[in-house]
Amino acid sequence: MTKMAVIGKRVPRVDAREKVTGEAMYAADIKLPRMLVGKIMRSKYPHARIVKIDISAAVNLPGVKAVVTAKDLPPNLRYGHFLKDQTSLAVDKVRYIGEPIAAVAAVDEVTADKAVGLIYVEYEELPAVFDPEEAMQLDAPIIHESLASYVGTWDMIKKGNVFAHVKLKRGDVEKGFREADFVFEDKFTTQMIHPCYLEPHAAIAKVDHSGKITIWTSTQGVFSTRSLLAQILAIPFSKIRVIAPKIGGGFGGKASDVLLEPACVLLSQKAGRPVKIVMTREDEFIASNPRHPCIIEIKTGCMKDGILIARQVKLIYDSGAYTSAGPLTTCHGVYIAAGPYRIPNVKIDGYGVYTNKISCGAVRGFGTTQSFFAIESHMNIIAEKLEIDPLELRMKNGFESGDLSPTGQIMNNVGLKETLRLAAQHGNWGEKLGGKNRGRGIACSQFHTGGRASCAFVKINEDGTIGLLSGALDLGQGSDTLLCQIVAEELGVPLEDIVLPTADTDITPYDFFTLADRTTYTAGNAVRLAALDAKQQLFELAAKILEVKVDDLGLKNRMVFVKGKPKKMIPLKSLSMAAHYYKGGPIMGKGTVFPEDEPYEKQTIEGGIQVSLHAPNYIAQVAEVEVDDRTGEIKILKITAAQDVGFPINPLSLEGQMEGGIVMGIGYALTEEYSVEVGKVINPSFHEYKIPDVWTVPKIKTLFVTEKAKEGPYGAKGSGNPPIVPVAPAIANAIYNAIGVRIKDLPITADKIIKALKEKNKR
Amino acid sequence: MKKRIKFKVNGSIVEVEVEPQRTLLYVIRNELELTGTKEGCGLGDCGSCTVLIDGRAVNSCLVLAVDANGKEIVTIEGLAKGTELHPLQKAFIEHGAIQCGFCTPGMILSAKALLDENHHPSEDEIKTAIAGNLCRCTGYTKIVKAIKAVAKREEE
Repeated sequence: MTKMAVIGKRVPRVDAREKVTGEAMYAADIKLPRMLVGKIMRSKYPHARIVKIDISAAVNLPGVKAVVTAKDLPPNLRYGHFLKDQTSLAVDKVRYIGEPIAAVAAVDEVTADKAVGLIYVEYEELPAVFDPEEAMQLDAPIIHESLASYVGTWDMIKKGNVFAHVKLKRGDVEKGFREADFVFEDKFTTQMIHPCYLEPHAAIAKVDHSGKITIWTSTQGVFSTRSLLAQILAIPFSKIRVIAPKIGGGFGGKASDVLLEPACVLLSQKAGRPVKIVMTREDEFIASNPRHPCIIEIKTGCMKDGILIARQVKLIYDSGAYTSAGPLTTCHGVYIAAGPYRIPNVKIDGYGVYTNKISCGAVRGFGTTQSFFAIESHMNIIAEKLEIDPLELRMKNGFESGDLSPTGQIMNNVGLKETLRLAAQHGNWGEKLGGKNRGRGIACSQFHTGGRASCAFVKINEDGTIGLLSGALDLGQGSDTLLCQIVAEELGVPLEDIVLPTADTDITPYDFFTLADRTTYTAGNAVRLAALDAKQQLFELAAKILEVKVDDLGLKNRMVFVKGKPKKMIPLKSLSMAAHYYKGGPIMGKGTVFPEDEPYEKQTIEGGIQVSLHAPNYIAQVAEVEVDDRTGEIKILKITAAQDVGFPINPLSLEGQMEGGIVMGIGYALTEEYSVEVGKVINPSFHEYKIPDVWTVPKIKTLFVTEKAKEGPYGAKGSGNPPIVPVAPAIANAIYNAIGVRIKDLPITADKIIKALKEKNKR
Repeated sequence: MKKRIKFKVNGSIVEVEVEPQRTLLYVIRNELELTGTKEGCGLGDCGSCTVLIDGRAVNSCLVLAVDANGKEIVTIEGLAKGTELHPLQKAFIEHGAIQCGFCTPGMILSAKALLDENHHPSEDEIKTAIAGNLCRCTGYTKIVKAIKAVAKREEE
């Protein structure tokens, strides 16, 4: 590859200046003339029939301008990303504490709060079920009586409270277990956690006289928000304009649902004034989309030398009251529940199950943080019994390029073993770790790069500066900078020449979503194609003016030049001026992308979708911990992480993704957990629900493996999800190494350590 | 009944009439329209609303506006001099200490309060200063580096 000017460089964020000065506008910062304050009234019961809703007292309160309930929604319409099982305000029944029932808009917050308190709802309580295994029993209360008739994106296998049973089968797992020298069986559980982006959800809706709706909202996808709103309100896309202001973090939590937008629109329509709704932190904890808790039963057959020959996994994802991202989360978990290992006989069953709790969504590493805690803990249990080094066991069985996944996909550009080697080397694997009760643990994982459609336009302004239009969103992960780097590289201009307006459904071209590690890969490719298209048009025009062939031309430092003739050149500015005022017309490049599915064996999957995994990405981590055996306190000393990023377009931002993901993973491993009692979240604040603060952070070493993705821009793979995935098992394995106790239930708290140590000492 | 208060905000004298139950955060964001100060929890847990009151970093969601009467307040908007950024702002940019940016104003102000008082903070002192500022994106590593870099520059 020729030497690159901007790609691969540690470029600071393009939006950094507005963020350090406080100028960056997030949804809650927007103020419109005559704007009202909106509030949502929520269910107090986990499962109840709504007998009556009386809004009259709220409507008559001075200062209240609108009150809406499900009666204001088009009748008999349910929505959902994957299964249409939800209404944005409760109809007939509530299914979790916190479910929206009504909404009010008033002149100020105090009046709005008061009005919420005046809405009277008569409930008839129904038996509720909170445990997913109980919910799967035949005699469990049914949460969705009409599940069978719900419309899904694909044909899901449904029964009782199970909305999706996803099956994966390869080879003959029973035969494998019979032939194995050893069979291991373990059960693990993982907890419900919240993504805890610092910016709470906020939305503002404005409806004009023609009925046109404009919404500013904290979302991970303006187009998906528009699409869900069109479903919910039964209006055409052209009547809805969704604009994303700055987004204060998402981690999947701003992708799973439209939590505020429908009510905000209904209120604005009714009041004839703009309405803003901002969630409190408590609202976030009780009514946005946390990570699915999961029960994982894993059984593995292997030979004496450590070669794995059979694996069976049962995953139960507790999705809460509605499916949200549950069906796809279940699929994700299933497709990689065998781990990144060559295993000829595999049987996986994943169940997405309704319970009367908050609906769970897609959170960073979705579906896989759960299964990899089990897989990678289990691998160490096997290694110990076989007296094989845990690293060696992974190297013996790990994927290499050309291996088949359990779904029969040929795995390409696999950097797994290099990540293991590098993490082990820099993490001092195999060396003695001094100090009392200290231990090291290793774990690895596989995620993949999201596909689906992205497109982009590159406009060359009259003066040769550039407008980049993309519907992709920067939630904080740094994609705007990456996209600008790509344009700067391809068009030979400095970053400051590029303007990238925010995603706006009326202006920017389509982008499926910012999630699942897809933006660098798909939006990046679309932007690159758009830049190359613009470049071709520039060269065609320059070739005419300079009287040379297109192939003779190059572009750098804002100049189109003739290769080998250093003096023969034309400034980009002059060229674009010519295009605008003299010849050819303004230049606009277009790029549109839909990554093709990698082939796989269809018969391996039943009841699932999106089986084909684009550009799988790998990460290995070595954790060093110290455990206080009197208090059970766990201190993480160091995490060494090596990630297969394909190609680092911006090493500075990639390090940030890895460091952030690792620290989030430490929270998942040690401190974060919803406490839910009889369906009620009892710790809905940051002082009761502990996310890592600066003192939690260990020494972190980040390393890149560059096994280039053949389709990725410059070889890049997605990179935001992987860092969180192996943290918890690496820590669990390190704790075992330190004090000889194996914790199989996340989070690993001091109490669990003390209890396990007592049991160990009894033996 | 509304009370009239007078304080200095980012160098200018400001007079506003506020309801006694209003927080300083509310007044800063809604009356003064300085929206760089963020609300992440409203309970003093996350530090997104950090401002300086007489040089001390405080959670403005926990301060009643009336209690700020006569005080000197600095918000994130008050740091840059014209287009010249404060050294902490520059360091946050250069070191990649920003991702979503929601915690950034509070984080920078907590760091400023520290560095104004202690030109040579240790790493532990830096951590103590920002322990009340939560960040979910960066993993804090680059934030600590950025603050250290400014402290080091001040040393030179």
